[in-house]
Amino acid sequence: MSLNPSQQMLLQSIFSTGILNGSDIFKLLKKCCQEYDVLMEDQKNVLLSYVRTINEAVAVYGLRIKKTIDEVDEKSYYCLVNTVESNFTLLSTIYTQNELDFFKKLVESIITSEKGNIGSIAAVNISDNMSKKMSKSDAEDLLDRFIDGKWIGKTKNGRVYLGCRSVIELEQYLLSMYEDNAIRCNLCKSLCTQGSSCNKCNIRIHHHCARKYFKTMTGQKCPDCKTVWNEPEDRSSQNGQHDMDVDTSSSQSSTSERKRTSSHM
Amino acid sequence: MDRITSILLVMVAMTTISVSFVSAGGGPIYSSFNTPAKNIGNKDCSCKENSVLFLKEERATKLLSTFSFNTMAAKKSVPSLNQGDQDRLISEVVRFILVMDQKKYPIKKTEINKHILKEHSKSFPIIIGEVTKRFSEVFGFQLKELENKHKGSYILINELDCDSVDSHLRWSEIEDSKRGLLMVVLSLIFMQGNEITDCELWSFLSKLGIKLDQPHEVFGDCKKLITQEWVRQCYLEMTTVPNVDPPVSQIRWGQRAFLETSKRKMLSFVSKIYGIEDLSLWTSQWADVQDSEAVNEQSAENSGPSTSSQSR
Repeated sequence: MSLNPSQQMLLQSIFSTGILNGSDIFKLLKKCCQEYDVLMEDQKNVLLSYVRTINEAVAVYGLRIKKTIDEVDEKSYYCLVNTVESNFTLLSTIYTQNELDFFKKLVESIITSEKGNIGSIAAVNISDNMSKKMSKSDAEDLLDRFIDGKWIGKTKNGRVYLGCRSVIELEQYLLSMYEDNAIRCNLCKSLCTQGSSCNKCNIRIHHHCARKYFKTMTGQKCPDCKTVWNEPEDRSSQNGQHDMDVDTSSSQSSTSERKRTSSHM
Repeated sequence: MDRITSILLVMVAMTTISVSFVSAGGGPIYSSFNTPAKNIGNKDCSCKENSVLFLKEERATKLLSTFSFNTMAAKKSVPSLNQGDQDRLISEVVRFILVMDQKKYPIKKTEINKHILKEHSKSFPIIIGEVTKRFSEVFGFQLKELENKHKGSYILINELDCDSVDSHLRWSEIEDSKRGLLMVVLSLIFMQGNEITDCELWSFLSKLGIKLDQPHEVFGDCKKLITQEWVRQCYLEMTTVPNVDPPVSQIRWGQRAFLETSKRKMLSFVSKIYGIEDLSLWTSQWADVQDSEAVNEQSAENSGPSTSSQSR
């Protein structure tokens, strides 16, 4: 099973970034096709066939390009994910063991939180509970690196949540480790760390799935127990208001936090 | 500091070096979850291992049917290893190299044997041959064995053209800056006649605002970066001159530098900075470029038949 250079170029590029958003991947695809004079009439079909071919070729190496949707910005992303577990990945990593421990604790506190997100101050404070010491400023830098890599997402108001890359890569792990907290979306059946829940039967739905689902209906009802769904259709305006409140409080505490850390040093 | 940054940015923009591979997507984080899974309760652990074993078996049988044609020749020479096992090992070695290559340190044969092949170490030559083929066919990388003192170590070299300014590969900002500095160091060595002493290098770098005794804003500990990191990655080679006090080191291009770039590319890079179009104006360097290309052609001709038979 071999790939043509144009497909190899796409694979290498996704490999180097780990994650690409929906518009970047089309730009990249165009570049890959131009470089090797491949005709590209229907973008979507070309992408589909490229991804399919690449996935067939790299499946035996435990890799796969998957499409996912970020729960907060609701944009689609393409990630290269591991599909098999093996022990030697431990040996090589761009993060140190301590940094990975921090990440593990961070994921745990996010997934066990009520709304699937925590404040960035709380996230940085996880460094207090580390077996090996980590300073607040190191923890802040580390958090930023995770956010850059899309492992962790951050809302405008400073709440951190599981980035789409973590969700897609760790889905199986999270579902088995945190049975009570990691819930699948009732509609698309993939892990939903935030979303909205039914008041009665406690099922959870991604916001983007909910929007699609309710669009086709007249009254909003829970897809499972058929009680009236309470979430207003226009989530953004309602949430935006709510986010504003959190915003001011968290940014205040974040500056005071920074002052505190700097005074320590 | 602004000046050096801007110089380096220009250099990065014009950089012709093609660094072969970048951090594997997903690998690093994913690995963190291997430890916890093993530490949490024996029950969990054992069932996990079982399922992995089972998966391996299942995968092996699947592979057997899809890839059996690859291993016809191999089966003859190593009867103890069946086709399914062999294909599983090949896939694992590919994965291992992809992950290990993130740091860009050469990957040793002994590491591959220790972590992946284990009791099948004898099959290494056959497996590595097949792995090389897979890298070229699927990923567009050349798996290259290093020579001389690094014999038995392998690195990945990108086969696709990534010289363009708008490369399809993306690095973090810090990686980009480091590559810019690397370009400067490599070009300096080449222009000085392929070898410089550490003192010469440090005095040149100090003109760019890079001081040895204080950490650089972007590069951190430059001495460590140059004399340890890049030497380990085989971009540079260092030897100590015997019987000299104080000690002097000679710095040359390492094997990776020769594989990822070329003297011609380096000379055009320097010429661009000087605004010179005719490369042959650099008399001695131009002669060096032509000599090295003649040697490369010859060695390509010599090894030509063997590589083509390998790829078939």
